[in-house]
Amino acid sequence: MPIPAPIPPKGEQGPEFGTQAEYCTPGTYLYSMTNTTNTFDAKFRTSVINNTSSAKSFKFTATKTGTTTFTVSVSVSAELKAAIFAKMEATINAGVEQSNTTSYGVEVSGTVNANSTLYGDYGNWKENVSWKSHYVYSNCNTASENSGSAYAPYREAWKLYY
Amino acid sequence: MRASRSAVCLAIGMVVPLLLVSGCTGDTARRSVAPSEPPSPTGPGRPSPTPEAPTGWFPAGRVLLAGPLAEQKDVTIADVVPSGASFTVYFVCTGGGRIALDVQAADPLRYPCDGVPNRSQVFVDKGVSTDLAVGVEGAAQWRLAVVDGAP
Repeated sequence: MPIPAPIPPKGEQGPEFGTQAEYCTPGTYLYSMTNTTNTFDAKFRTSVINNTSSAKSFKFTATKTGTTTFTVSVSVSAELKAAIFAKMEATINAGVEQSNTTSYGVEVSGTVNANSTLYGDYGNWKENVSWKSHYVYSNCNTASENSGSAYAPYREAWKLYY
Repeated sequence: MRASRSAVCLAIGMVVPLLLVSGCTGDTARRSVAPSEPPSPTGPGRPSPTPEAPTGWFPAGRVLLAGPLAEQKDVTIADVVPSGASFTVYFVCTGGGRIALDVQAADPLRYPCDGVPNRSQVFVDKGVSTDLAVGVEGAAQWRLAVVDGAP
């Protein structure tokens, strides 16, 4: 699917011989995208609480799965949605996916300190962006400013933290 | 039964996978449960906790306690004593808001009520009993199971 260019192409011909009038291909264009802080979409949460005075071994196993899907915060056309994903992939994070379902049975193990709580979340890291679009008329004027956010999964992992 | 608050006291014995839902005068109750003691009757409309969940969201073999406690907000589960070094709490909370699970650690576990399953293994010194306090903020429903030993 062709991706609308941020700056529409200008035509070579004007309405009158010898003039150079601007011409733009009408349509909705994505003209801005900003990378925002990545977040974690937990699909299974676990923890180990050590209420003793000695360190303990632990093993976390992901026993539930879940899916994270590319999502745009506001309703947009299918074309613009595709353009948002394509631009995320091309300019922000080449690893983004339309959807990812976490795997079952993935394990991580280690030691938890005495009198401590260790958290372990299993899920998908999400690439988050904010974006802006507008409609371009054939005379290259713009209107219908629109903006929103979007996210897509790019890596499934355990997230461990005290 | 206190009318203003759904205080449900749950007493569990280490060797008795039996859930009691009874009227209590305080937020916490410590009761010994004889193996032959039948469960207290539940009131009309109250969820009927069962020792083993039909959905398989926790292992059924070593269950100390399990129950859909959808109508309760704040509950204390007294005297959890594992047979070994640890017990495991399985819980899930839905409907928005947040859930806090206090197992007498420095800070309670706090999670959003977003339907994501939770599992927490609690290590204790042998023979030490632990009180579990569950509290929710906002509109939320939750269910919980306590299983003897590691996950």
